[in-house]
Amino acid sequence: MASARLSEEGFANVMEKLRSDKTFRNQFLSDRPDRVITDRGLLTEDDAASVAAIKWDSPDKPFGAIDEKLVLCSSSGF
Amino acid sequence: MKILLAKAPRDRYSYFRDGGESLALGYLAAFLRSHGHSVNIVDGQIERLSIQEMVIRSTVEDHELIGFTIADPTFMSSTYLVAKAIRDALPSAHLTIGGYAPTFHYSDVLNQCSALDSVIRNEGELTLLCLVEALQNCQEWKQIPGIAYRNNTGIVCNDSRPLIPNLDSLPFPARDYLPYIKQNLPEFGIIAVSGSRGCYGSCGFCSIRRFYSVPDGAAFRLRSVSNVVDEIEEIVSKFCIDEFLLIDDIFTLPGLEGERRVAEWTRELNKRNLSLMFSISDRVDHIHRSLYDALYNIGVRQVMIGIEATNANILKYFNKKMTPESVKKAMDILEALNIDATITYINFTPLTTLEILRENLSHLLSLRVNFLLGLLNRLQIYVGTPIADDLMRNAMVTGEFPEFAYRIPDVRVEAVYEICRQCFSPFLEISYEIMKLERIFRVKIFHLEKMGQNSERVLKGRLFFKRTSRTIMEEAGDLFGMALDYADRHESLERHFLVEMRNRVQERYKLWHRELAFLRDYSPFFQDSDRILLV
Repeated sequence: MASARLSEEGFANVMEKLRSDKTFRNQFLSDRPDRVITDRGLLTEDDAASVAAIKWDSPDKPFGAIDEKLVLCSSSGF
Repeated sequence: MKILLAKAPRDRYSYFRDGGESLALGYLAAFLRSHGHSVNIVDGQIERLSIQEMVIRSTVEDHELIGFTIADPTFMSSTYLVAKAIRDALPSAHLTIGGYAPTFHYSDVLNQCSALDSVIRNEGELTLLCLVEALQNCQEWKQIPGIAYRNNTGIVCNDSRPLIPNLDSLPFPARDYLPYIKQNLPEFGIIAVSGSRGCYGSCGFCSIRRFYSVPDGAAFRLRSVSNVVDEIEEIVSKFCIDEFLLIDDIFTLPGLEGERRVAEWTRELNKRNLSLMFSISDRVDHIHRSLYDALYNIGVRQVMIGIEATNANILKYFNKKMTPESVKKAMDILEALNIDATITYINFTPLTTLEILRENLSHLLSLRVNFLLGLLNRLQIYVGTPIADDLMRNAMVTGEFPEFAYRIPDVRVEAVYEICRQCFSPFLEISYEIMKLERIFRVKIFHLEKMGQNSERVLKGRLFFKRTSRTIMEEAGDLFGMALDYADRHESLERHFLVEMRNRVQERYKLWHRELAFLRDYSPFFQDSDRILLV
């Protein structure tokens, strides 16, 4: 997968969450393919709906379309 | 005469990760070429060649003399294998070997590998040239000073050859592998330049001093600064490189002499309008703010410091002549100047107790550096050093060269070492990943500053990296602490504990790796092109 770079603010958010939230850190980019890093941090399918910035192309494929600030994490790792 | 100079790949995992050229091969090749000889170089370590590939590459031409270089004993058995195979393929070739280990263990080497005809001891240039010319002219080579060889009665060691008095008289080392490194190893390869030979330190575990003090001549010799910068300027113009490792064991000199030499570096670089980035090695007690302001100004952005220990008794055992306080002070100066500090450390020694391991861990955590290599490092025995002499006198050494070993009297420490050996190898991998990312930040910031661009954003990124690195150190420290607790409470290592520990470390490694990759590949501080540092 080609690299997609987070914005400075988004990156800082993720890093801050990594430092402050142990559970988040331990789950960070596990091999599960249903996780997305966004400018607001690491999202699961459950809280994805609350992020207005993400435009999903279809309800069946919630992570099928990501904007350039998102990084889809897959089992192939980074 | 067809000559091949060769370095076999390491035969085992090493504390060191090589990516740079062998300056030994480079100097020897250049010296022979400057006397009209044709020389090929094969570096199996850089090219990661297998033994078979190494043999094919070495025998593709009918070389009449093949010289091996050995940096340390981890190259020994693979070199023996290559030498034996070459001997079968080229029965009339002369096979010789040089370097630190063969110099001190010439007898073992010749007894262990019958394929080798001779050993070149100590400094190699002149002795190798004499050997080449004697063989070429079908003259007797067994009288050449600096050579050891085998005859019917045993091993003969000739007198040592005096050291070359003026290092400026040597040609610049051949850089045959530089294009290869630039192309294939941009993340590892860093171009080394040597401004001196020998060391004026007297660390109890190191054989460099003895290597240069046995033959006649000054045991510590400097090239003139202008001669070193001439070499650097030539590399810059030929290969467009602006990052160098000044590979001297101690770059700075003590006192006023040190300030004078740094001032000379400044003059020479400014005169030629060279804006370069340097990595150097130094002693803790040489790190003063004024000297380091000057070093920063000439482009020094990384300093490798041989701390080796933080416990007062072990510092004394190593003859390091420093205190934990002086280490801390030096680190603070480097941090204030934004110069990366890379430390070497020897956590396991014959004097180490479990209590000392705990103390070491706490000192290492307080230094705010990547200490993972040092955490797992065990003192190696190099014959001829005061520590090796002492261990041998006390009958603590077992095994034969190159597999010398010793038992640490505190059995709990041996248990911790075994846990490290079986479970903690991912620490080494992550340490190299940290070093690579640290280098990417270093290069990026240097280039932005050089072009007069604002580096604030990347400096901010470097802070994130430092915090991540710090967390990794703390978590690695926790895992190491668990090993200490276990060894303290148990008399033997249970299999289930080792399995559990291995899994924990693997799991952590995966996370650390991803965090570092996240910084490198998804942060806004880099472009993909930043990964290719030398292009």
